[in-house]
This record gives sequence, C-alpha cells and structure tokens, in this order.
Amino acid sequence: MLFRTVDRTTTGVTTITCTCGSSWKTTKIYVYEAKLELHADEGEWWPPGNFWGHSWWVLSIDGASAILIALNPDPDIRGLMDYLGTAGWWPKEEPKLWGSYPGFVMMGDQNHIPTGSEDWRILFNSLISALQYVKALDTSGGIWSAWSNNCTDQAVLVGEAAGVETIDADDNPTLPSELSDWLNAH
Amino acid sequence: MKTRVLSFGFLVLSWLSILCLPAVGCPPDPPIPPPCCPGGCGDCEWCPDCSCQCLEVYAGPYSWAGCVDCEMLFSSDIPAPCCLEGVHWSTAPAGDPAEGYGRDDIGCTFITRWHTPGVKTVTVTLPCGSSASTNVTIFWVDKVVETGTNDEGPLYVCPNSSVVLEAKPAPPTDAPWMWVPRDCDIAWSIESKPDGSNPSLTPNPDYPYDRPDKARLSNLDKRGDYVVKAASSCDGHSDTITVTAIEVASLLPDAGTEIDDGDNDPNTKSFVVGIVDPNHEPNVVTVTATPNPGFRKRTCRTAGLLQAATVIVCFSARLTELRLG
Repeated sequence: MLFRTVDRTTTGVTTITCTCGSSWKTTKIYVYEAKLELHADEGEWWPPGNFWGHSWWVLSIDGASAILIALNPDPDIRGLMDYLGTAGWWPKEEPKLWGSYPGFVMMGDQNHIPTGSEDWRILFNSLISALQYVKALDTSGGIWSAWSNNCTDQAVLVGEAAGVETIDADDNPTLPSELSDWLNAH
Repeated sequence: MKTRVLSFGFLVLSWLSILCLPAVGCPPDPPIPPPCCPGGCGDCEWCPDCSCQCLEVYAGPYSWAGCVDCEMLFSSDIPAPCCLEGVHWSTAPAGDPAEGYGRDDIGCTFITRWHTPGVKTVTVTLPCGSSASTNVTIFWVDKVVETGTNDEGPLYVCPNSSVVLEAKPAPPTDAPWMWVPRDCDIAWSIESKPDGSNPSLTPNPDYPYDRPDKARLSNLDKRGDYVVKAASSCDGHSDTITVTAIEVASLLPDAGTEIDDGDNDPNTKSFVVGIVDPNHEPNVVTVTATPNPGFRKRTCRTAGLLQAATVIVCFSARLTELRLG
C-alpha cells in the first residue's frame, strides 16, 4: 500500500496524483470549515425602535472550499452561493403584531446587536441542506407571522436544517429573547 | 693499375683460407663435454643438475568456472611423450569420469563434468611422482533477481516499463563471464503472461558490456503477472521470477465525503473533509493508493516526494514501483 497524509487542522485543497505508467488517479481533498452561527437580539422596551428584537443566522464556509459551491456542476447548488453569509427572515412590509405577510430572506443583520450568540462547525452536507432550506424559504412564498413564523422560528429551523438543535420552534410566539437566553446558556 | 693489384691480393688470401690446411694453421675444434645424465632421462624427466628429476607441472581449467553437467576441459604443460607414459588425472569430489589418463590429441588434457554444484579439485600426477592441483567452481542457476538487488520478486512494475533480470549462480562466482564455457549460457524464457500481452525478453541486453546472465523484460502492455524462467543450459536447473505489472486501482481517503467534481472522469475524484482541532485523533486524512493486482508482499520502495504548494506530486526514480503523488 502507498499512502499520503493530508493535514486536517487547516483549511485548504490538496491534490494527490498517483501514476503508474499510463495508469493514474487524482484525488482532491478539501479540508473545509463550514459554520453555522445563530444570533438573537432580545429587543428592548425602551427606548422605542427595537421592540421586536431579531434572530438571524450565518452560514459560511472557508474561501478555498466555497469553490465547491460556486463551481458545482449542479446549477441548483451553485445558486446557493447567494445565501452564504448573514441572513434573516423578514416580512415584505411593515408588520403589525397580529398580522401575516409574505416573507423573504434578507441578507445581513440589519444592524442588530446580538445579546446571545453561538456557532457550530457543521458538515459540508449539512451546510448544503441549510442553504437549500434557506433558498426554499426565500422562494417558496412563505408567510411571515410574528405569532407563528417569525425570524426566531426560522433561525431555529435553519439551525435544525444544519443539524443543530436549539429551542422549540413550535412555541407561539417564539421570541428572540428565548433564543438569546438559550444561546447564552449553551 | 693500382685497383687490379689489390683485387689480385684479396683473391689469393681467400683461396688460401678455403684450403685451410694444418700446415697453414687452422684453429682446432672445441672439446665435446661428457654427458651430464648418462643414458639420458625419461620422457617425464629433465636434467637440470646432471641428475634426472621429475618434471614440475602446471594444471588448470580451460575456463575460470563451469556449470553443472557441462563438460570442463583441464590442461597442463606436460609434453606429449610424457603424457603417453600414463599421466593420471583425478577429481575430488568425483566428477564424471572421476579419473582419467592423459591424452595428447589436443595436448595433455582431461575432460570431465560434475552433476552437482560446488568447488571441485582436479589433480594431475606424473608417473614419476610430480603432481599439480587446481580448483574450479561449478555452478548452476540458483535464483533470478532484479539486477543490482537481491529481490527475488514478485517485482511490481508499471505498464509499459521494463526491468532487467539477472540469474544468480550458486555457488557464487566472480569469474568473468567471457571465461565461462558457452555451454553454460543461460536459457531465458517467458513461462506465462497475461492474456493478450506481447512482452519482450532480451537476453544479454547490453552485450558485450554486460553479462549474458541478464535479460531485459519489457513491453509489459497488460496488467498482470509475467513469469520469467532462467535455466542452466546443460542441466536445466532453473528458477523463475514473477514480474507483476500493476495499475492504480483507486486513490481514496479514509475520511470525508465524495462530491461530484463535474468532470465525469473516473480517474479524478474530490472529497470534502471537515477541519478538526489539532488535538483531534486522527488529525490527518490518509489517502491510500491501491494497485491492481494487489501487492502480495510489502516491498514497495520508498518513493521520492516533491511537494509544491498544496499540490503533492511524487515521482519515482525507478520504473519498478508505483508512483504516488
């Protein structure tokens, strides 16, 4: 047997070629670091302006391995590049407390300051699953509801799509403060 | 006139010398010495100090070494008349024949052979008692190896490469091959090969600079086993070596998940593996090349390694090993 080892403690791409006369094989090893971050801003009663609070997520992968998504032969996978980064679940119009509105995924944290945060290393396939979930959430015409499908619900569900269990998203409403507390406690 | 007088004088002197009469004063004949060894000596004797002594003899093999069951010729400096007096040749261990008497048709020589390898002694003895002995190594093909090594195989080579094989004699001999009888030449043959293959076997590939106990096996165009045989010409004692042409069957990591690299090329694969902390065990991915056919023993030589950036390419200085990069 012939073997070579590849360091797993740093991200990068290693290409190994084995040749024997006209016979050959090439194997690329991508050592990646894919991460899920969940953040929650529990909101505040005073001063007014951040009554709602906010929960959001970050899905990321190191630059060398991001090429696996950006240049993936599957166009559906390539399309997930748009959802890498910081994002949250938002209504398409100014919400009322008891209203329901068409929702969408908005990139960025909209300048919220987290009161609770946590991050996890996740598997590459889990990253893809989470990104696919986010894309479907963004494009499926889902309804945003402060009571039953708000930003915290979806932050929790994105986490579950990535294989990370946090709080129960079936609570109504699922509050950013609840997630913030959980994130600080774990 | 002066020239004529000188010529006449010279003629007269020459005439007188021809006549050489005692009265003229010719020198006497030198005395004949008495015989040193009265009655002479025998055909195997000589007379160095007015006494007959037995000849000192030399004996040696015609070749520096020989091979089992091939005839070996031994010669001496014994003169032919002596040889006919009954010069005796003997062997130890016994050859076939074990002994004999000198023959003078091609000098005072002796021909024998042995059926087993080893160092043999041949002694020639004159009737008057002098004797001389010589040793000769009789060998046969003991094993076949890759030349320059003691590797008896299986040898692993890559397709379309070549390997030079060498038949090793036993007992070993350092006799120059040019002084070994041609009868001892090695018979090389390919005993088996993969179906559809067309290998070449070239004995004595670098003659006259190389020994005829070598052969180059080349054009291994199919993967599989090539069995090569080397046999002693006279006795047929032989050995075989297996040369296996291998291909890279796989190059796989022990961790990670294969992903579609999109090129539809079965020779290229990509795997993703998550980063780990340095104290994680193992903190490396081991990528293993597996040949086909598989190795039957762990004899793969160390391959040279050239590492450039994140691309590792390993080249072999030899063709007889799997090259891993």
